[in-house]
Amino acid sequence: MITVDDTKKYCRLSSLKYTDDELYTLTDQMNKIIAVMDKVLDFDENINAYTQKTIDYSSLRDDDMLISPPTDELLKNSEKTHENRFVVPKII
Amino acid sequence: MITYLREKLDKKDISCLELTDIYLKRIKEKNKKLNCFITICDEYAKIQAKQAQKRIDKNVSDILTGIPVSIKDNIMTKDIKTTCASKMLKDFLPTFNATVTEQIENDGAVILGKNNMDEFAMGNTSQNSYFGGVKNPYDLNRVPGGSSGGGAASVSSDLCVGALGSDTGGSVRQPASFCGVTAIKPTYGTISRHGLIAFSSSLDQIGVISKSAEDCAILLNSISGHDPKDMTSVKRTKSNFMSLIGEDISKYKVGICDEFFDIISDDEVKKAVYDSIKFYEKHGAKLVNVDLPSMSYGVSAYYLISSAEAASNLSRYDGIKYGIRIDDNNDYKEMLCDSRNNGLGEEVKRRILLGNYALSENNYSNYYEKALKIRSKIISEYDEIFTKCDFLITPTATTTAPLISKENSDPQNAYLSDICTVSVNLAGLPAINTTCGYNKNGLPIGMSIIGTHYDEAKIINAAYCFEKEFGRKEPLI
Repeated sequence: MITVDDTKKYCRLSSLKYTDDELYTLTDQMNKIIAVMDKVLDFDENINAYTQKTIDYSSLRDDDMLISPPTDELLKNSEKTHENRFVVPKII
Repeated sequence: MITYLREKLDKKDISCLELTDIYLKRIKEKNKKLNCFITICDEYAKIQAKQAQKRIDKNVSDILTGIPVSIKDNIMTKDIKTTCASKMLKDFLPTFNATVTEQIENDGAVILGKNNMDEFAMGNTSQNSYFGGVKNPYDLNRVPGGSSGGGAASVSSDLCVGALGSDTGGSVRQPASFCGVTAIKPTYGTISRHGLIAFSSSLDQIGVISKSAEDCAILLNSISGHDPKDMTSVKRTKSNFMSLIGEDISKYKVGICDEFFDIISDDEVKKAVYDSIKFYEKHGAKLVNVDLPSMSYGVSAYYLISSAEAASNLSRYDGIKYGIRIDDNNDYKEMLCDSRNNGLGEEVKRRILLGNYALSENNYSNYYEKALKIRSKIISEYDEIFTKCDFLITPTATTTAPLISKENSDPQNAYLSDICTVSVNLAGLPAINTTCGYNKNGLPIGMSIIGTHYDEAKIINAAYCFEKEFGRKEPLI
């Protein structure tokens, strides 16, 4: 069970903001959802899933080292540059 | 349908522009009722149709040249709004095409519009859209499924020949089941996700919806293949998904997994899927009983993993880098929260909260880590299954399309209804939905054929052979 204060904390982590009334409703909803998620707590930890055969990694691409594109070419994409760097426009 | 239209277009029985006009006219008539398109590309489609006609006139057409298609609104289309059905991106104009958009356009397909969906592909009803919910063409009081509900409804109502969708936990297969059409989610990594707006990166995969397994194969042939722009795209020889079409099915071993049937309370759904299994048995295929013991953990593991990834992926919608900005207070933190609160819908916000709950220090090992272990266990159980059979046949959904109502919109119940589809995404497997029956109200029932990695051609053929004998009922709309 999570409390309204817990929900407030997760909202802060998520950059979301709710009124106090909304927080009560949300906490109730979240508790119902978490009750569904609690099923994973029953999973038998003794089964070492990671050691079992999972995926065939041989079909993935090789980890090749490639030469970076020339700096001048990359800088052409920027509207404004300064000493071999992109200049990011000020937003706020 | 595609081969039929190809012949008509190549023989000049109909021009690309005439064909496009027919579909655009239908969209304008039916979309008012179905709401399956967010954007209709009237002018752009006509330009593409004229270009396609030039290719046909020069005898350089491909199989998709002049074929009208639609694209889910979370797949980038250059200079065409790509909203993800969210207020956050309601005016977003991409500056580049997704690789799949590029590929389908290169083959000459005509893009009619962008399909409605659940916001950021989070949902299984297509009712969580800023642009209003989508209706089911078989019954306007019912949901079309989701999140690619707009694509499934538009294919079902003949508003396009095929649709590109995305499937994170069943999002092309389940709406296809509810709307009586065919849809395939290929093996993870088969299709480039460059330009697909991310929801859950380890589960997202682009899929296709059409009226037959054959058309799905044609569309897959167009959009599959390695793409250096997507690091999860698999580097392997491009498959021909049509290669096994028509192959004798008597040599197949069909897996039957009771875990999928025990959870179905709708007897009509159960019977229709069991009857379709008998079709394969009748044609000489051998039936094999297999087990997926960890299936019951699938929904929880899926929602924990996908929500955790969504919480990270959607942090970019901050009113600065992407999305609408609400800037009333001249304070950065206030602006960030106000923009996200205002721009994101309730379901999206719930998933972000759940994701951050699962990733938080106190819960990480109990929830997120356990979900990852369950995922590995499910993968190994599927590996074991495919040593015993060629493919599994299961119901795609636990019911037929439910009514659009408040009672059916409780998040926890909606999550649980995904149980038949999510394990496929957790294991990265290919699966195709095809219609296998209708209930007493005439609503379609879908079955899924699940194959092992990269075995799309086989499951496409299995669906193709079934469709040849099974008659499809057209929807009312």
